[in-house]
This record gives sequence, structure tokens and C-alpha cells, in this order.
Amino acid sequence: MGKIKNIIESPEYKKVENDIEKFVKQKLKNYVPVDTGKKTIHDPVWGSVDYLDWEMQIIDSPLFQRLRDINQVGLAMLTYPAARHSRFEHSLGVASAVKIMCDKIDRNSDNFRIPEQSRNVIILAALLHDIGHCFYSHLSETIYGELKDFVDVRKKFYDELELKPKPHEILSFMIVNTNSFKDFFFKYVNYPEKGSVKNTLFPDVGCMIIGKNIEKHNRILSYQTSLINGPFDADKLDYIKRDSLTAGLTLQYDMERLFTKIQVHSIPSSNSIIEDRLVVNFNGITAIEELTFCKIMLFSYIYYHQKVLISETMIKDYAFGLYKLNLIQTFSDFLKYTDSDILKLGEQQLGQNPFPEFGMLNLEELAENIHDRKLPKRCFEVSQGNLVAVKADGEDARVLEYCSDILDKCRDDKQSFTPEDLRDAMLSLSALLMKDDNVKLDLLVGDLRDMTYTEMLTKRKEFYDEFVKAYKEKEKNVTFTPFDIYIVFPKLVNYGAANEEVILGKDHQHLMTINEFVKLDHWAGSFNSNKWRGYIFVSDKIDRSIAFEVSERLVLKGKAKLRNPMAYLKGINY
Amino acid sequence: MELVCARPSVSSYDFMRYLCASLVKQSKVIIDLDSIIPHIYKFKQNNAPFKFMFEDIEFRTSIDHVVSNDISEGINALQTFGIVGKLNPKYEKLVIYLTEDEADSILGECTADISAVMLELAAFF
Repeated sequence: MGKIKNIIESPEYKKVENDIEKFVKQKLKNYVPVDTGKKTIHDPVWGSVDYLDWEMQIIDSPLFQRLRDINQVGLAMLTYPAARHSRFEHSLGVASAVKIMCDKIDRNSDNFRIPEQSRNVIILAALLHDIGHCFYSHLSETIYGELKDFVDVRKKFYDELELKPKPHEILSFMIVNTNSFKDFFFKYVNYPEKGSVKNTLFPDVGCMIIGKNIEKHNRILSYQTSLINGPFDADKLDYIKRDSLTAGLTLQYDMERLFTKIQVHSIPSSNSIIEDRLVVNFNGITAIEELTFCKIMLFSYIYYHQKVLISETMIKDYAFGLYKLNLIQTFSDFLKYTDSDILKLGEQQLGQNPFPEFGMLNLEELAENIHDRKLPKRCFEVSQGNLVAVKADGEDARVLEYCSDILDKCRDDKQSFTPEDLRDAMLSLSALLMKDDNVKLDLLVGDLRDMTYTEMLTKRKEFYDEFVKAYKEKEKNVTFTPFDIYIVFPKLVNYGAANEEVILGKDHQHLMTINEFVKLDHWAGSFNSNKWRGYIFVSDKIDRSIAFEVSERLVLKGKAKLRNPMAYLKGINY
Repeated sequence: MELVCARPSVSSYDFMRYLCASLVKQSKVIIDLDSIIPHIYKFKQNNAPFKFMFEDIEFRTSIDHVVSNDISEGINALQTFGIVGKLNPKYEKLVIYLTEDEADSILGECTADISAVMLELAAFF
């Protein structure tokens, strides 16, 4: 608890927290929950689920109801029209899933039952795990998560806990630990035995949300955290089902099988601490494989769909523009404006230019384009599969030199070049030869990935300057700005923890990693690699054929060429 | 309002790139995959002054095990971007495809301090 206290009392945390406190206070002002008793809520994923009175008092609060207007999958509805479900139903879904998981753990575990008090904490954490989400969910966290004050808080979490919580998890942690929220909860909510947990309840809930294990009475209760933030947590179980259902995708994993195979296994250690870990029986591993596959496919189908990516990049311009013009000023503003409000804020631009050094960014027009799905189009696409390396001069000579070097080492006794070394050297040479026509994409696009927004603006300006030159060569009028050019190089999919020891062996004693059974991270990584694409998009103010030529030159730098661009780029003269 | 964006000084992906480049500089191009996370974790624990380099790498420790999804994903990203490959059939070895010149160029991107630390870390492999 000392480390959590250090975080909460740090100046970095306080600086952001003051703002969050005001927001929570405002949201809960005048809300006095009534005791509605137990209710049943019907859900397409989990069926009819009962919620106790204290759960309903949280669900009915304006703070929780706000999640109704935050779309679960950002702007994916522009591509999958029915994907309009919100963080509200997802949060209920996660609570439903943990209730089932807790029951199953009790039934499946050898000599372990989840105490009633722990069960309530888990359900509370499940309900509140996404309470810190802002407009368009993950989309907005890529915006406020880059702001310096927020990066400082995140660093504080890392320094103390060696954890890297996601930005929305930090906001959720902060919200549940504000005085306003705690005052509301302990004054009004009929939570069982709340008097006895007053000092520990919300730090514990916060820890579970950010993925930190809780330690109590010489026991590490890692199963609690794993149910909320772990390799097969309730969050994943819900969003995979819900997102694919609403998008109309037939992605399935064997949920029933997974539920019959999960349990808590107690692991003793030499220093008399016992860890209660959430594990899966070895014959439930196929369900984990299916879960991983579904997650990657969801990224491929929905989250990294090129139209979804570009609409989200447009929102980034829009939100950073609002921030620069002081129309969004604080972290509480990020929380205050939900999906239906945010696109209206651009109306307050009143001719001001957020980034004059890069040309005019018209926020109202941008909001209109997003709303009306008038999206920029791809003019260039790059992936490991669609590139062929242009062989560098002297490459054959280098291979011969390499062979000659190895032969010299073999002949020279003083080098002590062992058969092991020779084997490694030969493998290395084979690898070099095998990769002959493959492209080291990193060396081409390294500078286009992982950019902060300000770096991105500079890079877009570089592209813009080259576009302008090409336009001038063709004697065409330039009517666009750098904001008509979008560089979209998404991160790779994070697919889970294949190296965590969560598989319980046949003997019900030994724990193994998922990788020891199936090389999950390798096949998932390879699959992931094949699915990754980087894009350049341009608005309709730019000639896409010119944009293609310039992008090809700037991205590939003459070191590689595209295999068959017309197979995936329509309407470009190549 | 002034827009100040920030991020960790070394991203987990760049950390792994620098490490691969440093390994190549020490003529180590085939690495035992299972050794990577424990080596990096141990190095981090014993080198507090270089903590800033690990800001983007999360380690999860339990009673008997240390895992890092950031490192595993960093390796997979390197594979996607063509810098490393994994040897079949068990994928227990990592092959680094960088040439010495490319390794120099990658290490040229970081400061001399970071480069020196990376070479020190590479010596553990």
C-alpha cells in the first residue's frame, strides 16, 4: 500500500487529480441513490443478469450513466454501422462475466473458495474498470495520454510499481480514489460491510483496474486482478463477444469450455507468502487459443480497418485542435465531453487557427466530414508482404566476404572457433541468404511509427513540401495543406501473455506457460505480422496518383518496390 | 494553449532495436529466446541509474516468474519489420538479420550513453 500512497501523494498525481476531483464532484452533485432493490438486466451477450441493490446504486449514478454516450469501439460505426454499443453495456457485461467466473472458480478449484468480501470487490472493480474512459474510448486516450502532465503521472506509476497502466485505467484509478467518489460511496451505497474496508477498498479496486496484484495477510491475491486485467480477463471475454456481435462478425471462442477449466491455484513460496493465481486447466488451452485468434481477428476486421484508422486519425487532428484553441483545456474536459458533444465543439472555432505554422485546420469542416463519413482515401499502403527489396550494390560480395571470414576462423586454431560457433555462423549466413529479397521494413518506416502528435505534424509538413514540389512540376494549383495528408502507421496488436505461468498441468501441481503447450505468441506474432499495414491517406483535395508517386519515393527511398500496388489501391494511375 | 507532447525516452520497440544492433556489434546474431527477458530484467535490477531506459518496458513478477509482454511484443514487432526472425521448429532461437553497417546506423540514433549501456547489456548474452 506504501507505493500506492506514494503515487497518490506525489505532485504529479495531485496536479491531474485536482481536476478529476472537480469533475467527479460536479457529476455526483445532487445524486442521492434510492434503494431499488435487486434488478435484472437483459443483455444480448450474457442473458438476464441479476444486479444487487448496491450495484444498481452505482449503475444509476450520473457518473456511470455517462458511459452510455461513449462508444465502445470509437468510430468503428462508420464502417460497421451496428457497432454502436457503449462502454455502459460493456461495463455491465464485464460485471456479468466476473460473476459467472467467480461461481465457476468456486466450483472448479481444489480447496479454494472466493470469500464473499473479495467477490464484492471484484464485481465493484468490474463495474468501474472503464469509468475513466473519455469520448470515443481508446481514441481519446491516445490524445490526452500524450500530454506532458499525463505522461508524468504515468511515469510515477511506473517508477513505483513497474507497471504501465493505460491512460484510461489511470483515469479510472483516479476517479474511484477521489474524495468525492469515496464520500458518495460510503455515505449512500448499500455495499456490504463497507465500514470495515473504508481505507482499503478503493486503492484495491484501483490496483485491480491498473493490473497490480493485491497482497493481504501474506497472500498475493493475483486472481482478483487477473479477473479484471489479465491474460483471459472478464474484460476480454466481454468485448470479444460484444464487438464481434454488433459488427456482425461470426467470431467465436468456446466460452463454456473456458469456464469449466478456470480455477484458482494456490502457490506457496519459501518466504511463507502464498499466491492465489487464476489458472486454466491444461485441457482448456484450446479455448485460450481461440480467444487469442478472435482478438487478433477483431483488430484486423474492426479496430485496424483502414477506414476506422483514418477516421480516428481525423479525430486526433480535431481534438488536438480543440486543445490548442483552449476549447478543451483540462483532463476534466476530456471526461466532460462525450461522443455526442465533442463534434459540436468545433463550432466555437470562430476562424481561429490552432496550428498557423502548418496551415489552416478547419475544425467545423473536419467534424462535418467525420459525421458525414467523408473520409480521406488511401494513396499508399505498405506491409511486409507487399514489398520487394531492391538489392544493394555489393551485396553478393558481402556474402562472399562473410564466407571467407568463417573459413579463416575455422582454419585458425588460435580463434578457438568451435563446431557450435560454426553452426551459429552457418545459420546466420543461411538467414542472411533467405532474407535476400525480403525487406527490412524497420529501416524504411522507422521514422513514421510511434510519433507523438507534434512529431507527426512535422512529418506531415515534410510530405506536404514534397507534394507541393510535385504539383509545381506538373503546373497544378496547390489547394491543400498538411492537414490533407495523413500518415497512419498503427501499433502492432497486443495479443496477451503467452509467457505467464497460468496453465495447470495434469498433476494439478505444476504450472506452465501457454507457450510450453502451444507457441501461442509465435503464431500470433506471425499472424499479426502478416496483417499489419501502414498507410498514407489524402483528402479529395489532393490528386491521389501524384500522392502515390511522392509517397512511394518518400517511404521506400529507392530501397524497395511494391509488389502489386493496383491489387489494393483503386483509382490510381501507376 | 501550448501543446507539449511527451513519451518515454526510449520506447520498448526502440530498446529492442538498440539491443539487437548491440548484439550484432558483438557478433551475436543467434540468441536464445528464453534468455532475453531474464537477462534484461536482471540488468535492470542491477543498474538503477539506467532506469530511465526501461520506462516503456513493463515486467510482471509473481512468486516464481518474471514476464514482460512489452519485450515479447517488441520481438514480434522486430519480426514484422524484418529485423529478426525466429528459427523453426521450436522457435527457441532468434536470428538477427542486421548487418554491421545497419547496426551502426541504428545505434547512431541514440545517445552515446544509451549506446554504451546497450553494449554492456549485450555482453550478458
